[in-house]
Amino acid sequence: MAPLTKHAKEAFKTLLNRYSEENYFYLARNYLGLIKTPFHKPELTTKLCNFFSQPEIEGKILSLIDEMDQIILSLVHIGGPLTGENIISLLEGKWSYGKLVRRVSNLQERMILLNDGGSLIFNPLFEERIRLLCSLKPLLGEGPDVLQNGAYCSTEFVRAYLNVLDREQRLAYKDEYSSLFPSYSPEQLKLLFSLLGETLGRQCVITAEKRVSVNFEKAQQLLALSDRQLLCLLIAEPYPLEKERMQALLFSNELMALLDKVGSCDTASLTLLLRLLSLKTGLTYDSSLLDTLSTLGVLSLNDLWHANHIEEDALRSTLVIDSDNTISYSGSCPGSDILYRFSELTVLDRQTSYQVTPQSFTRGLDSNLTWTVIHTYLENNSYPLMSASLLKMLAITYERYQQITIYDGIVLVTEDRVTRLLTQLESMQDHIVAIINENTFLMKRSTEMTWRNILVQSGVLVPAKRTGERLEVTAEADNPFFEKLVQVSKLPPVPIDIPCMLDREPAMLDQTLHLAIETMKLTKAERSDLEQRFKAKMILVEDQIVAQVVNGVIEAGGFDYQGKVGLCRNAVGKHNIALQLMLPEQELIVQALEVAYTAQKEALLKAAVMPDMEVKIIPVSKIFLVRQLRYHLV
Amino acid sequence: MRDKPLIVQSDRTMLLDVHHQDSEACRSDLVKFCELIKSPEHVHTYSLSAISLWNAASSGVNSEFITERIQFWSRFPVSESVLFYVNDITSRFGKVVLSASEDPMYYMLTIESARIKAEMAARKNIAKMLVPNDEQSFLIEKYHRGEIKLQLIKLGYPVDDRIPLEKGISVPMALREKTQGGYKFGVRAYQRQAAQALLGDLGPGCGYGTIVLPCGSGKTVVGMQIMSLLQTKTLIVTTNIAAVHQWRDEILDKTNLKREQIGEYTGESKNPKEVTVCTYQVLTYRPDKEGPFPHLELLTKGEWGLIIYDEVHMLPAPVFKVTAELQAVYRVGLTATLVREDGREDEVFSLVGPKRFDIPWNELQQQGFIAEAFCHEIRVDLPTEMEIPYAVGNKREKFRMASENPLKLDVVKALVARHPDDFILIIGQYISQLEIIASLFDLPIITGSTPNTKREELYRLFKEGEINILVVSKVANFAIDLPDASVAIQVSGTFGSRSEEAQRLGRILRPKDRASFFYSIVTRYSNEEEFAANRQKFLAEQGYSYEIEVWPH
Repeated sequence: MAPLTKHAKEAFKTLLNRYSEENYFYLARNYLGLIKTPFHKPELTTKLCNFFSQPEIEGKILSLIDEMDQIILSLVHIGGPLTGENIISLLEGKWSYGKLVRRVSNLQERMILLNDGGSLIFNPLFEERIRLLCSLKPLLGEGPDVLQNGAYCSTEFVRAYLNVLDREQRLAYKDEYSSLFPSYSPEQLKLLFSLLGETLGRQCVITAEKRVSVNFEKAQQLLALSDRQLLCLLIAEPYPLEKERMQALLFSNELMALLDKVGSCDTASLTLLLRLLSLKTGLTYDSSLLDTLSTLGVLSLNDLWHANHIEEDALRSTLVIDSDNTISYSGSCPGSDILYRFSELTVLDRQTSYQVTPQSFTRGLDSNLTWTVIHTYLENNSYPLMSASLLKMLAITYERYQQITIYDGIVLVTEDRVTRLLTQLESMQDHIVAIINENTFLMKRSTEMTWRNILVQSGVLVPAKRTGERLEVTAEADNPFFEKLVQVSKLPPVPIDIPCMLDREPAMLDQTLHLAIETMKLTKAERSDLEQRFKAKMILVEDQIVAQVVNGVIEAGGFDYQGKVGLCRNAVGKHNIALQLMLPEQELIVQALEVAYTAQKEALLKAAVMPDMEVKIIPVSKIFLVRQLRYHLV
Repeated sequence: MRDKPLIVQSDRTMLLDVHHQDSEACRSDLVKFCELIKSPEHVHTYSLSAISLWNAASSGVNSEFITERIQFWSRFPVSESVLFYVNDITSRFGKVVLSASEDPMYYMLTIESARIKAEMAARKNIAKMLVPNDEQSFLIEKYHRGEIKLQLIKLGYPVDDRIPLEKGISVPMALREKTQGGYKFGVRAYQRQAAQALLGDLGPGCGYGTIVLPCGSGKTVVGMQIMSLLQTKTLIVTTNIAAVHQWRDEILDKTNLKREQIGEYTGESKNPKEVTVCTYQVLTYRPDKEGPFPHLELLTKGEWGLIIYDEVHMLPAPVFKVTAELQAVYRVGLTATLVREDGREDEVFSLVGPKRFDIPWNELQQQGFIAEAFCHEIRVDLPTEMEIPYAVGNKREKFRMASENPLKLDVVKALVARHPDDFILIIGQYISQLEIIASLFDLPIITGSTPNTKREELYRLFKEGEINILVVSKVANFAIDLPDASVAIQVSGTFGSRSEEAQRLGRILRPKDRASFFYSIVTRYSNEEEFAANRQKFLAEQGYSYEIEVWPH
């Protein structure tokens, strides 16, 4: 064990000194025994610090951590500083509200969790050792931690999807696509097509007007992401605000890292994890997230939720080009890979295959790939040899492709002088699409105003356009935030230092201490107080067993009407004290607001019922048992 | 990722890296329970199907062996769904058992569970064949043996047929060690393996099936090997009279059967003997469209111990039906290209029998058992004056115009000149086109209307080297053995028929001391290019690649 740093000790002292007097002395008296007056608070703090800095004390405190403690601590470890309410609300499905309130308070009494401005953090003196006691399970269920090789929305899938879209020129899913994606269920495939259609449409990676077209430049940026980053982007993209997207990216990145370790979990545990990470990243929890994760294949449901293995660096193998013009590979292509642009997907699986056909090659050329680029690509990536017949087929198709060129632009017919200007002016060159013949130029439509200006400034009188028919020019759809979204999605993987499962000895109370309490000469109140603190794991060494009452009466029930009233009155207005009320058919945890009396002198407790703080008036006579709980140690 | 040769896909196809050091060992395991789908140069595709698994199960290969072997050879972890499929499908085998019954008119169908029994009874087309027997079984009439198996396979419950096939009338015969022509003769290892794969131990589940071997690799010899092992009365059904005669001549040349033991049953002669060779045509002949098929009785009433369906992919529909009734007979389907454009390959498997043996074409080529062949697609322009008529024609007219492109004649001439010492077949679809070629270059021609005697005479002259160029129509697509042919020039074809293309290539694949050349002349910028691409698919999947040549004006 590494020695405690000065920094840790100082942090401990600072936190402790922020506690209210009542709580401070409650803790001090418990751990240091009788405190003689006059006292010097800094001295007391140092004593407490020294007390908890002893390795045997630390060992004892940590040895008393049981499974419920461990779950709470693991929650704090994953979620970062959490308020008591957060912890209770997240774990409410596992235990009753009352039990959780008591345990969270107890962890503070045991100085394992300390209050830091409303949030609970690990005691800086044992922080490292507490971390070592945390694990993902049983917090997140008991399922096996083995990842599945299920199908998910990988970059290879998106690549294949874009290929299908480019070929079919339609967004709607067709049943026959399932044979192209055999590892995906038809239901998942249908949902993925819909999800990607919407997402990529919003980001203008695809545009669907009369025909669907793919913006391959944007696609390349998207496909340059790792599978994990792509999934994060797809989860985050639907959030409308930039801040939310960033939160969603952080959320999904951490989620995937945790799922990678957890392997599987039940629905309740998964929901807990999603809520916890939402809380941590500031994202508003939305239950539809589970559907998105399932559609994307991050998780698949089969009795339990199983996390799928997300490939990080499965680089594409060399291309195997067979005589039937099938090009196959395993792994994941780099973002700049162009195969999917000039071929047709035949199967996406362990080994992915595309087939090159004259039609697919033509589509590649239409998408601005050049024959040289395709040729070089095939030559550089083929194994064992470049297919000569494929190259020949492509060369012939290319020759045929070149037989006609369709330009879109404005035809400019000029006199010799203007021709000279056009050909010699440096600034004009970017605006000329093609020189059709000596005095006929095809000019860019998109920069018409610019080149008109240049011509005017060069002394040319530029007339209006002569049109035979009206031309409809549509602006290319774009989403200016796409690039930023891709950039911010490039998050490194989150390192998860928390183990999945830990084998621990069960927590056992030190019975020698109990014996010491039993044998010590004490008043009834002192004994009861010590017994209660012993059970609450606050008595660690014999020096703490002294004749004093630290807590006073904390419980009254049965016919002790006055005792119950007294406890209620005592708790009024104290934010760190809650009352546990046992009523005929329910148990309530309340904060006492007021004790009033009826005309018949019957005591009524006005209390805010936690956690919703709904105000109720409860006759004290209806309460079987009142127990005082130290709620927040602040 | 492990250093293994196999990639198991989710759709249950298996990709074998043929360049891997262990690919042969892996292949020898795969063939026990998979079907070879395609075998181009680098990656061969096998597939796990219900039929292949049940076939494996009927040969005693269990699911434990299959899953263990798949996992052993797989480069990546095998998907659970694939393993589940293997276990699920193989577990269905043996749930329905066909065995002899006390009543000689019937067989007994024993069903393992009441659920399956109820499912069967609920299907009208199955229920009509079932005669209730006891709680666990039905009786079925003997002639329903094939049909019930076919229907139950469709239902997903393969029948474990435990009735041994009937031996048939004995016909002693043996293969010669020296052919009648005086050449040394021996059955090649793969031919022996193919026969063995079909016959097994002659017990239940053996003795019927399909053997797929490349053209020119000696399927006839496999047939004769099976005949010599069974020594029984045999019917051979083939595609045309020339093929009938070829079978007869081969049997005489390579077995000790005598001429008088071999009969011919064709349009010309109906003389069944201990070994009879007939055509599909004669079996399916009927005088009027609605009437019965008078010669089908040859199949059903001939008391055959073995039926060989040559070029089984050609099996016509009426023969399908009769074949279903001939389940007690040893039977073998022989083919090089089990691709049917009508998609009825599965029915061939169900009725004749599953694929028992298949071997990649390029493997036999590498071993020298079939000739090395170079395929060329020569693209030739349409004459300028035909461009407009072509542009305005309908799809059929376009194809016809492209197929009969007169500029192809120049190419034929040049190709013939390119191969002065070769034996050349000029093959086409359109008789008028072939007649022009024949008359232009003064070449003999064989079409459907050429009398059989004339055909035989021309084949003989070609085989004996007296003529070295023969113009042939689609009558020569199948089953014609012209051992010395080394060049085929295809001037036109039946649209996108993959099997036709492969069979035409097959005419020049007999091993010889020179390489073979297959030229397909296609009109550039026409729909013939698309059809040609489709035609070439089967061969491309067997590892053949076409070199495209653009013919200069």
